[in-house]
Amino acid sequence: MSNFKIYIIGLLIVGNLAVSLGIVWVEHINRAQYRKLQEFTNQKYKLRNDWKKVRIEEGIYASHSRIENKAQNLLNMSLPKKRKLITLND
Amino acid sequence: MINFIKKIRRIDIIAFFVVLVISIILLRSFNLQYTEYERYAGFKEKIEIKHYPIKTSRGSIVDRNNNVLAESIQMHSLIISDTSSLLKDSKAIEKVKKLCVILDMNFIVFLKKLKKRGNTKYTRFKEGRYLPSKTIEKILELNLDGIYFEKEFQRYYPEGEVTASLIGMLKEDKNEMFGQMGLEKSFNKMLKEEHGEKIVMIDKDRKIVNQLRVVNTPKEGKKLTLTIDTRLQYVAYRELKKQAIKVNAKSGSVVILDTTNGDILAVANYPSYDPNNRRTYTPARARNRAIIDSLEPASTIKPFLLAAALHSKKVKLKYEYNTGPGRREIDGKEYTDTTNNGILTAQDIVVKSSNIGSIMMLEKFDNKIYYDLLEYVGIGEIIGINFPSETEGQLEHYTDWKKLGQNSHAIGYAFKTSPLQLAKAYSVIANEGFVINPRIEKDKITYKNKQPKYKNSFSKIKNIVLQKVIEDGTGKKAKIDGYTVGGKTGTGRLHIKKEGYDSKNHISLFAGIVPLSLPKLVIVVVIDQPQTKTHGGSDIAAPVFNKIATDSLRILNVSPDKISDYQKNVLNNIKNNYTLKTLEVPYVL
Repeated sequence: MSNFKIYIIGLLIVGNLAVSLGIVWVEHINRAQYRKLQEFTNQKYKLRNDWKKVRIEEGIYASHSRIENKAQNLLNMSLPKKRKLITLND
Repeated sequence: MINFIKKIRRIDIIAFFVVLVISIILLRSFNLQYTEYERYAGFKEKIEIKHYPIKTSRGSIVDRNNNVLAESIQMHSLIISDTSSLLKDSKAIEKVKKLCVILDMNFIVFLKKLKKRGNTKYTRFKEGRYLPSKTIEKILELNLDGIYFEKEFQRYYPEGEVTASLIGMLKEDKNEMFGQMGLEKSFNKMLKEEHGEKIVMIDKDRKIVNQLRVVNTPKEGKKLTLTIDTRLQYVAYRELKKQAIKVNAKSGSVVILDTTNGDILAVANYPSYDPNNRRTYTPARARNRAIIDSLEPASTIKPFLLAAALHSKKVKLKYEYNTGPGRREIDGKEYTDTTNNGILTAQDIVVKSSNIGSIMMLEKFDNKIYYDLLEYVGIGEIIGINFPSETEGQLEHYTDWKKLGQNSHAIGYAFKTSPLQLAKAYSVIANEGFVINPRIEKDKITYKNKQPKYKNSFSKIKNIVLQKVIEDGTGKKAKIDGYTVGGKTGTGRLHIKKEGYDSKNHISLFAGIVPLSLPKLVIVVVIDQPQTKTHGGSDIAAPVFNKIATDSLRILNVSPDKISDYQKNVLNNIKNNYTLKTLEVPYVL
C-alpha cells in the first residue's frame, strides 16, 4: 500500500470522526437554541397575556359604573340639575 | 535506543496518535453500548416523541372605542399524568394531602375521583382548572411527581351583565370552546382560534427537548369590533334596570341607534346574568328581547299610519275627525280612547294617540299604501345584523288584512316587530325617508338607499307631529331641556296564545328621536308587564327615554339645539341689566 493511500485512509478516518463529532455538536447547539426559542416564545405569550390582563383591569377600573359610584359616594359629586345648566353654543 | 528513535518518522507519530484517539473513541463507544447500556437506555426510554398542541387564543370582542367586551386570558390547569407516581409512597401521599388543601378539595373525595378514572393517563378535574399564578407556585413547591400544568384560555367579560345578552358566552365541547349564544355564537367562525400541532421530543418531566417539525401552524382568532358604545350601553342598562325594578316589570329592552350611519350604539335587556359566573345563567335572563322577540308596536306605529295617509293625499294634517265619545263599536269590536277627545285633526290623532281616530283615518285611503310604507321602513323584514335567532317580525300582505282585522293594523296590532326593527323604522322618519340598515359590526358596509321615498310625509311627521307629541301630547315626560325631541308613546295589551288579549298585563313603549333638528339618536324603550296602576308608555317608558337620552347626548357631546328655559331667563337678564355681575350662574359648561 502506497503512502498516499495510507494518508487518504487516515484523512478519511479523521474526517469521519470530525463529522461525527460535528453532528453531535450541532445537535447540541440546536437543542440549546430551541430551548432558548421556547423561553422567548413563552415570554412573548406571557407579556401578551399580561397586556390583555392590564386592558381588562383598565376596563374594570375605568368602567362607568365604578366611576359613577366613586364620584357619588366618595367625592359627593352629582350631576347639576337641568334647570341650572347653561350651555354656551359656538 | 537512539537508533530506534532516529528511525521513527513523523508519519509514525501521527499514526500513533490517530490510533490512540480511535481506540479511545472505540473504548468509550464500547463502554456506552455494553457496560453502561442500562443507564442510558433508561434515559432514552423516558424521552417520548409526541404530537404536542400549540395553543392559541380566541379573538377578542371590543366596542367602538376599543374597550374590551370579551377577552381570552391564558391560564394553567393541573393535569395528573401518572396516578401511580403521584401516590407512590407515604411521603407522596402527604404531599397530595397538602395539594388538596391548596385546591380546597376533600382528600378522600379526590382519591375516589382518581380511582374512578382508573388508568386514564391524563386526568383533569374541575378544581384544578384556571389556576392563579400564586396557587401554581404553591403547588410547584410541593415537588410532586406525575403532574404537569397545561395552558388553557379562560374567557372574561369585563362588562358582565351589562352586555351579557348581546355578547353571549361560550360552551365547552370535547375540550373545544364554541360560542353558545349571542355574538359569540354568530361570529364564532371569525373569533374561533385554530390550535396548531408540532411533533416534539419530551423528557420525563414533560419538558420539550427538541422540536422535530410543525404539523399545523396555529391561527389566533380575529378581533371583532362592534358598533356598541360601552358608555351608552351602561346608561341604557342602568336606567332600564332601575325602572324595571321600580315598576316590578317582567322584562324590558332598550335600543339606541345612530341615525346617521345605522350603528347600533346600545342593546340592553333586563333581566340579565353575569357571563363570568355561569350559576347566574337562565335561558330567560340570557334572552336578547330587543333582537329576537317580536311584539305588537301598538300606538308607536301611528306616525307611520299618518305618513301613509299624507302620502295618499286623501288626508291632510288639519283634516278633522270626530272621535267622540271616546268609545265606539266598529265592525263588531269595541274600540276605546283613554279620554273623550271629541273632534281631532289628523295630526292630533297621533298627538293624543286616539285609536278611534286612527281607525277612521285608515278607512280614508287604500291599505296598500299603508302596507307599502310599513314594508319600506322594514316592518316584517329581517334586518340581518348576524345575531342568532334574530326575528323578522310579522307583517301579513294587505289583501289578508280584512280577515285579520283591518282596524287592528291602524292601531298597531295584528303585526309584529322587534324593538330593533322599530328603532330602524323611526330612523327612517329621522332621515326623512332614507333607509339605513342597522349594523352591529363596525366598518361593515351597510345598506342605504340613494333616493328617499315618502320624503314629504316623513318630514312633516318628524318636524311637526312627533315634536308636538312631546310638547302637548302623551310624551311630555320625554321632554329634554335644551334639545328638541320627537317621539311617540305606546301601550300594548299582552297577547297570550289561545287566550287572546290580556286586559291586565300591558307592554309600555316609547320610541323617540333626538335632537330633532339634526337627528343623531333613535331610542326605543320597551317595558314588559309593569305591575303598577298606570301602565302607559307615557308614564313608564317615556321617563326612561328621557334619562337615557339626556346622558347619551352629554356623553356623545351633541350640541343642544334649543335654548333651555333657564338659559332664556339668563339671556333676558343680560338684556335687561347689561352686567354679568348681577347674574346667578351656578354652572357654566
